[in-house]
Amino acid sequence: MSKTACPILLTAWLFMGMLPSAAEAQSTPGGAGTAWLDNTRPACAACHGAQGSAPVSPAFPVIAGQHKSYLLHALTAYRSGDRNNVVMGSLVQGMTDAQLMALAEYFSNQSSDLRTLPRQ
Amino acid sequence: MALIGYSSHRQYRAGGALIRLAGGVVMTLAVIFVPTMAATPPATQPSTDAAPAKIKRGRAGFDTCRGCHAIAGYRNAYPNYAVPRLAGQSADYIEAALADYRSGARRNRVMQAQARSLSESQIHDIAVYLSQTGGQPAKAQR
Repeated sequence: MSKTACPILLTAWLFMGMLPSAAEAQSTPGGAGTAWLDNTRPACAACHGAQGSAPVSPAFPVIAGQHKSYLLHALTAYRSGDRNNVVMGSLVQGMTDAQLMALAEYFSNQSSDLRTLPRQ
Repeated sequence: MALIGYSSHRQYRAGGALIRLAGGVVMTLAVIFVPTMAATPPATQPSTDAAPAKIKRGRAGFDTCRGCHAIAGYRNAYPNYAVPRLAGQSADYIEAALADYRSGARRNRVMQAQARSLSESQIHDIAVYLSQTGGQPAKAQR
């Protein structure tokens, strides 16, 4: 096990405790209502910063203002294991399609310095 | 006696196998860690370069990427999604993403081919360039 794996696993475990429980998520179809989103966002902000626009370390991506379809693609890949990341994999494990979509929708609509590159 | 001899022989063989196994583990760890340990301490040239030089090289190195990443709303096919916006993205994240594409840990045919054509220092320069550059004007964004 690499020396970075331990803190990462611990962090993942701690963040999972921040996620809303299954019971809380049941109130809306797909479990992706406003309450669920409000309860889930702090776990995202812990690394990606407030509204996903100011990561706490350059190791974490800015997700605010990213394309919705790309964010959904990334979240889905983390859930299926196509993309391997202990923290992201644990966090999205068990989320419904509607919940992943709600996260992609929310963060793509936040403002940040993220832009499409100039052509030259 | 023969039985004891046999069992001690087995123990000897088992012990030998254990020693070989331990030796193998030590060698494997050495192969994995010694080069990285040897590579890290003396600050390598790219990391001591001033940011402007990195940005200049990164901008040039990024030219082949503009065909997708500098077209607002350009989409990847199968699966269909808009390729990510990269101007203003975190440097270390970009570096890790390209390293993962290069190693195959992250899979995308186009990105894997592109990343394999880049050296570690080219990847670093591109990451610095992307993190410190602005993008297209807001009205061009989609």
